[in-house]
Amino acid sequence: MIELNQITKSFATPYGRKYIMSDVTYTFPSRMNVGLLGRNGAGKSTLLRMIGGIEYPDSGRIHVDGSVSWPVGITAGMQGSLTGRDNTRFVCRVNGVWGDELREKEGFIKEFSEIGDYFDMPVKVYSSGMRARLGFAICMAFDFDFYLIDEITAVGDPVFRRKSTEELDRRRERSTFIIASHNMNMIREQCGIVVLLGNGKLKIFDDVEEGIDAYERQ
Amino acid sequence: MRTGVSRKGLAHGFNVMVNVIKALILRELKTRFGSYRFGYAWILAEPLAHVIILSLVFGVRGRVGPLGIDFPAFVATGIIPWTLFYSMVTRGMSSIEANRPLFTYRQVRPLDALIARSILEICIYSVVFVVFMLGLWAVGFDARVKDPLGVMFATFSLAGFGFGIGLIAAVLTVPLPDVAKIIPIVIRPIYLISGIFFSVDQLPTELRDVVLWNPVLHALEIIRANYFVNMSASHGDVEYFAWFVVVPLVVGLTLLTLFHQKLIST
Repeated sequence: MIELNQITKSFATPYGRKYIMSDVTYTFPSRMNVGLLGRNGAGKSTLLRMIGGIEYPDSGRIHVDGSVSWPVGITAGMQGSLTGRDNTRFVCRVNGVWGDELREKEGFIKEFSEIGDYFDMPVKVYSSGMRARLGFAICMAFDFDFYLIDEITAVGDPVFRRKSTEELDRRRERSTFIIASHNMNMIREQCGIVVLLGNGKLKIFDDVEEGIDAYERQ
Repeated sequence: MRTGVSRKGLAHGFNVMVNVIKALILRELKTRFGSYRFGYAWILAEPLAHVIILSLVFGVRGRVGPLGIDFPAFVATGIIPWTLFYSMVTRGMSSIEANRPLFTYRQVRPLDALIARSILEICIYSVVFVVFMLGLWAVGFDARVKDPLGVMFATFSLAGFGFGIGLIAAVLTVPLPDVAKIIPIVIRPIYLISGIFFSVDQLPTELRDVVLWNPVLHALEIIRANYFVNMSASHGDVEYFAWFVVVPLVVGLTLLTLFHQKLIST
């Protein structure tokens, strides 16, 4: 369960303070994937970062019952000069995975990301699709109650997209995905609820189609 | 329990921190040296070359230095701890900014980045110190140590002073990027008045009182008093120097706590 309790979040800009959320209270349902919609800059990534515990609201509290992944984005947390393997190892080690278990996860990630020999090349030579695949694969190597997915599923090619869809289906029983995306097909297929961000407010749509409609009219 | 997620208990928190610091050290080794042809040899070659060149320039081979100590040995016991101190400050200072993308993983905290770098620097310069002094001894200089533990403790204390300054600078550079420019400008000249090339005893009394405010000078005097048999009368004041280890550390940790949210956000 993820509870947002009277969350206010703003950023200072040269044109004054910009509020992406003001006094928002909401409880995400468990066992139902959430589609997070909103225009660029509406605060989708910020919300994911706050849930992930790496950004703090100006006021209010976020309570998470269960384990949460880091926000999986295209560029986040990867060092360009290091190989995919080294980046993978770093994430494993930080999560307390060493030795045989690390090698096992490494194997899974190399296989799942389908980046082949690129796994041993610096991440800076990757295409954005490859980066996304690696990032997604690393996250999938760990079991979390909540996965925070930031604009990553739209990037891969169709083969990979199908694969990640299958993976999401497989984990539906145990885990909840919160997916920020501009890919409406993805939202339709995967999510049972839509959360629309805009003008400092959070709007909830139990009907996914209605949510997508509202987003497209925004 | 599932991997690396919950934050229950002090012991668990400590465990996570150890994992993160180990991971950061391994990663730092890779990013700094992993892509070069001679790879890890550079870890030692870089500071060794620095020390050798400086002792050649200032050490005028074979000349007997202050208090009858062989000059290269005298210079080395100044330059190596100084370089450790300097790189603790400068590398520590940039550690938070350099590791910012990694704060995506919430286990990784700004202090971990600083500690990982510091451990690495201390290890590198400890080995450089030992290798260099053994080298001097092999070439025929008198580089015998009086009290190895004392030298170690004093050197690590100087590193601790560097850690505190690096920590304060690392936190302050986030709201005030200019700090990163100012710190080296302030610290570099201290090099000349830290007694790397002279002993306090050689100075006229009026000058002594001026340079003796410099904590680094105290540290070097303490290191040498523990190193050389014939340098028992030291000007190094342990109590005075201890303040410079403790106060910056406390100030730095306080600043870190105050600015934590700002430090990790992008």
